[in-house]
Amino acid sequence: MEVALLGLNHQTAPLALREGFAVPAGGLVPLLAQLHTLPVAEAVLLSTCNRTELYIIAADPSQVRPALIQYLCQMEGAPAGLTPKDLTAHLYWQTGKKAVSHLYRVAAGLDSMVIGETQILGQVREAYRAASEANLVSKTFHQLFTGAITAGKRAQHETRIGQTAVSVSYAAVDLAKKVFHSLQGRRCLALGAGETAKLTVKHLQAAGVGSILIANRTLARAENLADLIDGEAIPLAEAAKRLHEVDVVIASTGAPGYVLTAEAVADAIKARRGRPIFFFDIAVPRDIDPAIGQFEGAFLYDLDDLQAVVKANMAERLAEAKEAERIVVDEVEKFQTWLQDQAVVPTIRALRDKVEQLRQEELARAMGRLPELSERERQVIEAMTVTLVNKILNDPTQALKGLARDERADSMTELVAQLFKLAPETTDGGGR
Amino acid sequence: MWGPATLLVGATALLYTLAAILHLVAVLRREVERWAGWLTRSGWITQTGALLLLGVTGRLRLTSLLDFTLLFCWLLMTAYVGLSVWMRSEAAGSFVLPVVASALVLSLGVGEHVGQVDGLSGGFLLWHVGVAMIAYVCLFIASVVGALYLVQEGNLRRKRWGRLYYRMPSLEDLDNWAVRFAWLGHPLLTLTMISGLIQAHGLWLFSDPKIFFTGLLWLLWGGYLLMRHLRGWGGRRAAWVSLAGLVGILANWFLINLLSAGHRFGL
Repeated sequence: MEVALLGLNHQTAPLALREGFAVPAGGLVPLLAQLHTLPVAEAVLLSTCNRTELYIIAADPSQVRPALIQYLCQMEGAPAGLTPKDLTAHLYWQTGKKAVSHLYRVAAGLDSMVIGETQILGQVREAYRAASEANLVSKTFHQLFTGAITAGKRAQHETRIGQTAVSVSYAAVDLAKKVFHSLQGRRCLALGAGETAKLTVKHLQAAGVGSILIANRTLARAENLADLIDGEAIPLAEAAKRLHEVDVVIASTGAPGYVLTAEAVADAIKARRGRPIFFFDIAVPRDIDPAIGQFEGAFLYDLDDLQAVVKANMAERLAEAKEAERIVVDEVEKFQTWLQDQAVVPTIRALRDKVEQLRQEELARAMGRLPELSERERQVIEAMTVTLVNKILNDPTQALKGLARDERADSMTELVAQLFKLAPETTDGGGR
Repeated sequence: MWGPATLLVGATALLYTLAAILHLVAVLRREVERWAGWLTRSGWITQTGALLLLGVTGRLRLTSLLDFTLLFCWLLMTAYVGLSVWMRSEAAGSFVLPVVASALVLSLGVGEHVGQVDGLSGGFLLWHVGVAMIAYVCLFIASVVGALYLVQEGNLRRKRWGRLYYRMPSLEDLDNWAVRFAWLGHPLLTLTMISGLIQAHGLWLFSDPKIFFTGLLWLLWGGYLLMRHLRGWGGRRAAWVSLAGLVGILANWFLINLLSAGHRFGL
């Protein structure tokens, strides 16, 4: 039995094709039901907007591959007239350790379009849960997907791969969080009521910003936006006077001169007794006098700065990805070790069961012949038989475990089974 | 000099020195950060072992500069290791480890000669030195956090998005931590001074450089807290004051002891 993967993603297939394979909410159950008809021991279907992947276990995965391609071609959203040959050009196929490694990298966000994104981990978990409910998962995939989820969690917790913003709006929030412990309950002033202001304010609100002042030359536009985001509209002329009340300022009016002068900012900082103010000037031409960047307690960033942050953040994610790759290798090794152990576990279990059965039978027979023994004497004899069995089985058990990572594992377990007339149960894929 | 603990102390100094080098390299190369963390924690374990051994065998003497430094560094490193594990950040290591490693190596160079603090003995001496030690550890941490504040503020102001920027918490967090440790350290320093002055008859503020300098430090940190409380001081100015406090602590630790008649560390 071997793990295999068939899939397509943003690197191998265009959006037009990918969207056809993105399973809508509620569409997974019938698709999983169809997997029961395929000659696979276990299966999980992972479908997101950027990837559709089918993980299976089969005795000979290469023989199942045509059926899997056919299965994908027959998916409800697949483009009309798509032939297996057409689809194959966009598919990747991996088996064994490579397939395992791929899944773990996917869960860790290392194979995502935006490296380190965290949504994929939830999607992997959901795919596994749905397949479990559809009775498509047994012991091996339970171990495989639990390991993948662990790898994803470790990558998120032990590295900073997903912690830096990769869009300008989020970069602004990210930067503000490097000044303030949290944005919870902070006050914000938006200069301008256009789309850019609206978008950035919404990100700030999502990050916990409390009350929001919206200042605009046309008060009616400010009032419209204020209604939408539950803020307070004020005339633009009043903005400088109320500057000391706020922690974050977003300027996007596009007015020809500076809307906030250095004097106004200096007064506000003085009134705030050193508490910092964060300024995002995303207007072109700029709304805030750049001289304020030198003031203690004022942190000013313009559009170029935010784009530079995004670029640095991307580089940071790529650098952290190396650490996440190490975690993936570590977790893949754990799974491979577990998998190899499974080759000898049934034989060890069968051997121990057989000897234990013999011990109990012989003990019962001996006790039957010695009715005069006291309870204490019976306990001593029974304990002796248990110790004897454990000592006899200890060496072969350890030797078999040692063989698990050896290429002779199959032949040796077969030999042990023949010697002791064992009939070990297979462990892989028996759950369906 | 300490019997079996000597090896452990030597190992601690070596591990901290290597950790300090790696922590400095980690500012530019992230891959060594993990090793720096491991070396730091290994050093802390050997140091803990050394102190336990010294404590059990009754060889730990707080009036020895070396033993004092060993215990002082251990308290500092316990706080650092705890915080770095809790916050999952080794950022402060680049500042703490070089100081700790230098202090240990310097003290080892001086060697162990048991001295005395005039007028104090027995349990009271232990109490006086113990409280002083905890006070200095707290103020030392406040200073290091202040230094981190200045670095992070520089990053944000000069728009340097390097390794340290990502590794450090927010300015507000750093500012809050600095003031919390200062609030812990200053009252303990007050207790240290009061206890010393009450018991050590004949030694007053101007009669001993150590007491005088500690008085200056007490004023500096007291002023820091007062200005923060009354005038809403914080941020860059407060961080610079705490950095001046760090220089004062280090000077008080090593240099002033050379001049003190009442606080002799057997030098």
